[in-house]
Amino acid sequence: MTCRVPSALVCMLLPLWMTLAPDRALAQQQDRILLSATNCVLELEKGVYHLWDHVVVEAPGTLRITCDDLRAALPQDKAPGASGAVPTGGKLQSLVASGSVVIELYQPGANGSTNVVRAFGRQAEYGSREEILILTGEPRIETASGTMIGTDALVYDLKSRTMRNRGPYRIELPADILKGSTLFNRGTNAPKPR
Amino acid sequence: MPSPRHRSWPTALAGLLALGALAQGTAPSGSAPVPDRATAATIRQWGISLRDNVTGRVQLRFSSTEASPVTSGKGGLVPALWDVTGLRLESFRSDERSDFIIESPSCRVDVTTRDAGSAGIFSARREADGVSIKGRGFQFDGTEKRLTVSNSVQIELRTRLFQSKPASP
Repeated sequence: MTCRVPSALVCMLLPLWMTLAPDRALAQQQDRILLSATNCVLELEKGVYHLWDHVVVEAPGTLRITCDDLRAALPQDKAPGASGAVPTGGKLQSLVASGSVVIELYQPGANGSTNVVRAFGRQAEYGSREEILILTGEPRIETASGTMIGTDALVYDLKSRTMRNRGPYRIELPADILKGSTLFNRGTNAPKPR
Repeated sequence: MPSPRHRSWPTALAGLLALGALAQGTAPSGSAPVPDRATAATIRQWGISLRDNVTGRVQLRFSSTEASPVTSGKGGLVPALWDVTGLRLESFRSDERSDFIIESPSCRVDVTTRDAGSAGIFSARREADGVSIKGRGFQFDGTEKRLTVSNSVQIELRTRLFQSKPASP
């Protein structure tokens, strides 16, 4: 016995499925954090993870961190009526990356493209309460349009995906950004060389 | 008589060794080659539960498809040290609910110190929050519930760093 689905129903549902499926896949991808390294010590009951050597932290579609050393904490709650700890849904409480820290932030650009901003520093800290990432240790940001240096700390808000700095900063722009500009190439009334 | 629930690990170990002796006694006979001492002691479907000495609750459960007692250089058996194949090590929380499960194709287990280790591949997971760990070369300290990985560790956490930004109208 075969079951025939009305073609009109298929026509109605197919566009809906095509819209939802990529979103669901993207959501599933964003619902995970991947940590990798050469070595690690995991305190399974305490929820304290220490990784070192070639450490990579990836939050797909959001950011990628590489560093020498990483300490992550997954909070553990006290079990009711027991002395031991129980996991609390795998939520990452804190993350401290140190040593040659490179953070790549992925931000949606125009026409479905992805803009990548690279930040460098000696230490990065993430706290789940504020959902911010603080980069310190002579931090700098490199983008296609220039480099920001000389600030005390860079603070990236993961909720709003905005970056701000602490303290003074300096921006270095590539020389060709002024190409075609008349700012340094104005007409002059000086006599032309013969 | 103490209840089985409050049986200490030395009691469990004694039971295990008795099981080993039983396996030795029931080894197949006939035209099969005569097994050496270590092979004779190989136990299929080996398993042991280690309990908290105070509460009597199960803390760790080792099980494997096959286990052989480790022989010393002099040919004798090293007490409580086992080479196991197809290890499944389950750790339990204080309320006896399952916590981490570690699986390794081949490793060495010390039931006295509650340690397990191998230079080979392994995987670990916790069903409660979907944490999964893979790597090559591990040492598990069953007393401290500490897992040390010496090569190519990959950890997957089922969480996200931030909540989704509400869509703008």
